[in-house]
Amino acid sequence: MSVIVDGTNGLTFPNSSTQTVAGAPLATPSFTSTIGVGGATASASGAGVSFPATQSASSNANTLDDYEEGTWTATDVSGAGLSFTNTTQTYTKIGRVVTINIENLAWPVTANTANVELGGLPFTSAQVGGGGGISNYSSSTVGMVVLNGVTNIRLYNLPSPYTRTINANMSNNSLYFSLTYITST
Amino acid sequence: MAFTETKTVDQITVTENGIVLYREATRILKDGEQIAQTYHRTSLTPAQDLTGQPANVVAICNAAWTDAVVAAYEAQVAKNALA
Repeated sequence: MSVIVDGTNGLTFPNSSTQTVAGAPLATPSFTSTIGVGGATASASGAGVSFPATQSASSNANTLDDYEEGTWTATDVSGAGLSFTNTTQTYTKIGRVVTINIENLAWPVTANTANVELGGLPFTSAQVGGGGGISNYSSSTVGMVVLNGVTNIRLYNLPSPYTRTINANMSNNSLYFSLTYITST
Repeated sequence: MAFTETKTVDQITVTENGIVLYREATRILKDGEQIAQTYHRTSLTPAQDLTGQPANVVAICNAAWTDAVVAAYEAQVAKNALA
């Protein structure tokens, strides 16, 4: 078999048989731009690995099978029907690990006494997990707990006895935190 | 040279307990060829208000959120409580 590369149409092989290229395979291949895996089209910008837009989950514990970054919308699911400001927040998913960041999520002025509960997480949590963050409510620190099997977060006042943060605590205040949790794939 | 922006719901997932997760892809096209893409994800829990949600997502939520699914989800959330 001969291969002609003339710069006009890339490199094309027949579909019907396995093809080989003479010469030893590269022991340490090096790429100068991007590579696509799992049928993904390699990104035209930057350098790195492009994953499929829809994850092709691997059961192998040593296989990185997904990467995605984007935004999500934080919502009030406390039952108070509050309208937050700065609801568009960011996430990054690497394999089954999801990290969300909340910057300056602001509560309206409210005297509502329902427990704070945020919804809208970009992926469901596969287990109960927690993290910490800060709010400017009385210069306090709050703890975050993501619930199992759902897309909600609850806030707790730190330190002990870890009472639930209520909406009135957050009245006209903001929340800042980063939380990492596990999703199922 | 023409730039256009499109928004498409490119992924909808219904979880076992009825949560609907969807992803909206915003694509920037230059002369019809995609040059950039960003994602925004939204999750909707059973019985949640669907005002303002895309029509195809609403249709799926309405199909998935039977009374039994809503009741089971609410029971799960109640059981999830740490305090």
